[in-house]
Amino acid sequence: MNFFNLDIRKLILITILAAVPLLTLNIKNESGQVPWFIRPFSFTGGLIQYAYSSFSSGVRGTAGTYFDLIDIKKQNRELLQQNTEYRAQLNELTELKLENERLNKLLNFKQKTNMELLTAKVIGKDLIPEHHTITINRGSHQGIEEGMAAITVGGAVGYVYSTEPFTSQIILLTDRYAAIDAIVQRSRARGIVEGYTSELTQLNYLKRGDDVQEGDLIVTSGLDNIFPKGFPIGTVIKVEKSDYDVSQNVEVKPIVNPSNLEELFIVLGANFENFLEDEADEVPNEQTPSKETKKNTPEAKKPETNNKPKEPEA
Amino acid sequence: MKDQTKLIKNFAFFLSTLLILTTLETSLWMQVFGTFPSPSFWIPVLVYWSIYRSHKQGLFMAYLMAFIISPLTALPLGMFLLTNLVLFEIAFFVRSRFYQPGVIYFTLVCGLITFSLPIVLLLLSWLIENKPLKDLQVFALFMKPLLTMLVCIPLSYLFMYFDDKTDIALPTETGRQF
Repeated sequence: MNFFNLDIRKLILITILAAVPLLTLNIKNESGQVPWFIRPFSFTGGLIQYAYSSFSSGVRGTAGTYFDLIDIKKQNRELLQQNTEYRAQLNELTELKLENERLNKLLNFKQKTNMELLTAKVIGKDLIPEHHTITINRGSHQGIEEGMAAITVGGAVGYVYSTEPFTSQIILLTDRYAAIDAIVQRSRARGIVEGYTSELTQLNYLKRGDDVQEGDLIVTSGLDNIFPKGFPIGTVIKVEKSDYDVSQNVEVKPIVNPSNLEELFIVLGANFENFLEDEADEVPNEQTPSKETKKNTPEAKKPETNNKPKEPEA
Repeated sequence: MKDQTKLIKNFAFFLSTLLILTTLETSLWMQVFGTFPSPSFWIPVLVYWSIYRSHKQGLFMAYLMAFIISPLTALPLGMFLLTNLVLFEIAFFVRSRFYQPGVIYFTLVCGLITFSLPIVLLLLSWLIENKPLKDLQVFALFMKPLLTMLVCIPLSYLFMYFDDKTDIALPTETGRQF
C-alpha cells in the first residue's frame, strides 16, 4: 500500500534527473579537461560549428564577391589602364635611357677626337634587300659630300654613296659595291676590304705571303684621309690559301652590325687622325695641331677595341 | 585630248602612289618593324600596269618606275631598269597565257613577281656584273611575297578607284583583247 499514492519509479527517475545537473554543478571544473562523457558531444558540436562557420563564411565570401564584382571589374579596368600607361612610360623611359647612353658615347667620342664629325640619324634602308645601304637625315646642306666616311664609336660603317640636299645614302661595308683601303693591325699587311655577303666582307689583294691570322683586327689604312688611320673595320674569321693562288682568301666580320645602327658619324674631315698607338708619333705635328693636348692623346682617342674579336656594336 | 588628260592624270596618280609606297617601305617600315622584311610595295604597281594595261603603256610605266625609285637603292639604274623590264615581261607573259579578272588573280601574280625579283636579280647579276651577288636572303625570299600579297588586296581597290576616277575600264576577258 502506498501511503502518498506515489509512483516510486517515477520519483527515483525525477530524483536522478534533478541530481545530475546538481552533481555537474558541484563537480570541480579543471581547466583544459573535458569530462569523458562530454567529449563526444563537444566533438560533434565543434564539428557542426565548424561546418556552420565554413558554410557561413563561404556564403558570405561568395555573396561578397558577387556584390563586389562590379567594383572589382571597375577597379580592374582602371588598374589595367594604369598598368598600360606605366608600361608605356617604362618603355619610353627605357628607350630614352638607351638613347641617352648611345648619345653619351657618341658625344664622348666626338669630344675626344681630332676629326670633324657630323652626327646623323638613320632614317631608311635600301629598297632591294640584297643591297646594303642606309639613308641618313643629313645631306649636302650640312656639308656632306660623296665618299665621306661613315663611322660609329665601335668602328667603320661605310661611306657616303650619294647625297641629296637633306638626306644621304651610305653604302655599308657589306655591300658588294663597297671597298675600303685597310691594313691588318698586327702585321700591317695591306689590302682592300670589299663587301661579300650580307654579314661578311672580304680582305682582297693581299699577297700570298702576307701574315694574316684568324682573330686579327683589320683597321682602316687612312691613306686617303677619308677614314681616320687605324680605325677598326672587323675581325678576321677565316683565312684560306689555295695551292695555286697568288693571293689568299680572307673573310672579315665587320665590328659594327649595321642592322642595329640608329646614329652614326659622318667624317667631314679626318684631320690625319691616327688610332694606331705606335704610329701616332709619326704623324707630322702641323697636321695634327691639337695632338699634344691631353684629351687627344692616343690613349684617350683609341676606340674601345683590341686584337680580340669584338661583339658587334649595337 | 580629254582622254589624254585622263591618261596623264592616271599616270600621275600611280606614280605619286608609287613614290609614297616605296618611301614607306624604305623608311617607315624600318622604323616600325626594324629589319623584318617589308612587302615590295612597288611590285603591285608594276603588276597592275602589266596585267591591266596595253603592252606599250605598261612598258612606259616600267621605265618611269625605274627612274623614280632607283634613287632608293644602290642597284645601278641600268640593272634596276633591266630587272624591272624582265619582271614586267614575266607578268605580261602570265597575263597573255592566263587571265582572270579579280583581286585574287592580281594578288597571285604579285606574289609570283615578288618571288621572282631576287631570282631575276641574281641571274642578271651573274650574267652582267663583274662582282655578282653572292647570296640571297632566304627568309626575305619567302616572306616578302606573302606580305606583298597581303598589301595587294587593299592596293588593288585603290588602283581600281584611280581607274574609275579617270574612266579607264579594266579588261574582263582573256589577254587577247589587249
